[in-house]
Amino acid sequence: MSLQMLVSRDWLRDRILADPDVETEAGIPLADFEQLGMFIAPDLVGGAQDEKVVELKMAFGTVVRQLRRRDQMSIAELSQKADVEEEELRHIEHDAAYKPRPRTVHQLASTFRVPTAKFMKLSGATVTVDARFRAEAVKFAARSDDLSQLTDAERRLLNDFVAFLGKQDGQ
Amino acid sequence: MTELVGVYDLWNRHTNSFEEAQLYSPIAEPHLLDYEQRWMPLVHQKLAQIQGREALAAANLQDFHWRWSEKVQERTGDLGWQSFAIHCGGLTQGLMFANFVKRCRAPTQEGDHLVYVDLVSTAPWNRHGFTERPLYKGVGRIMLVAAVSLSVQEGFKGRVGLHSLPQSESWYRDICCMTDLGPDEQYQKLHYFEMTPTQAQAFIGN
Amino acid sequence: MKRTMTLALSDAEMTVLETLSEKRSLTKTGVLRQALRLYQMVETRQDRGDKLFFEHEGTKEKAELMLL
Repeated sequence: MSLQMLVSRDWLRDRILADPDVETEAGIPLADFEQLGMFIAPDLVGGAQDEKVVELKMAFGTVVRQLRRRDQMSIAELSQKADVEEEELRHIEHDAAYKPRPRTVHQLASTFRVPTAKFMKLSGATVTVDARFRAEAVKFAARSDDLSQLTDAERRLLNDFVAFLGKQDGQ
Repeated sequence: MTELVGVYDLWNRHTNSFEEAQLYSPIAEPHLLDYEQRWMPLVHQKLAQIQGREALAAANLQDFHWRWSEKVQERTGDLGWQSFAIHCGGLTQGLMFANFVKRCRAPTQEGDHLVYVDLVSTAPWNRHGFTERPLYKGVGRIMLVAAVSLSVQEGFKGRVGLHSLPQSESWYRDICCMTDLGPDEQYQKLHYFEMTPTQAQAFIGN
Repeated sequence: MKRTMTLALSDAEMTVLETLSEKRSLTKTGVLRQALRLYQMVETRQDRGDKLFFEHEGTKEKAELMLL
């Protein structure tokens, strides 16, 4: 339906000239926060996320550890390759309460060639309400084991999960 | 089929002069292409420079990363939505989505119909937080006028609602004189604003 | 571009239309337009596999609108 504007061109010119120089952006429907990836930190959202964030962070620590083992690197080696702090890597792999720095998550995503947005969701750096994502992550973490060498089964499991992370949303 | 709603002007801050701009509805392929190929690459570039959350807010990127083509596809042919694009200087400068089936929340008009602005966004090169020298001014003003006009045309008496991004709150509260209903827990704690018929009349300059 | 249609409604239907129209200060056409938008939304969502629920504000009790 064609719109009839209620003002004239001149009216708008006058107003625009007089308007202060400020931002006028509005609206981000929730679903699209998924796509915003790195932009939103969890503390912008209500408290109900906490328990679910911890679950995801455990999965994050697990996938980072498993990827490191797959690529046969020590923590020191990964720290160097990804250009991140060793201390932080240790926290990430073993402390589910730890909140990693977005830059570190970004670097790890880059190093392991996993979509950054997905790593951000896993690490708790960004918010997700995607139940399927959470379910897959929790399943993966539960089935992975902490041995020095990845077994064939663990390798397969890791590859499947990484493939899942590499998928476009909705697939 | 996209229609030309009208011809207006954006203020070019670099040349200190007005430039002719076209307001179209609905959003069409060229506007989408501009979004994907002109807006987003700049956002990605900026992203690479960002570290902490404070820097993010400052960089003014909160409203980006929409999957526009998906949104538009979903909403094309859906009578509940109307979209708008502003074209100037050979590029899409602004985009807006308006919804017809939501209702007012403000106590004085609870349950009444309104035009809900789902999104209003200006190109990254027009934004202060994004660049030292933002280019065009006026997208927000034109779009809000369009929303109010749409509301009046629908019989909603100029009632408009929207969730403001933090950096835009003073625009909606102090310049547009909308009612600030406070942070919305259901919507990332963004402040929800509504315009009453009286405020709409004042806004349009009656 | 507008297209015109003549509508034949029963007395009961017209009464409802008039009541709704007065309630929210919309024209009768306005009400029907809103009805069409909502109807389309319901159809689209249903096709997608979504269900339509009413939720009571106070009790949070949910009642499904059994459309199928």
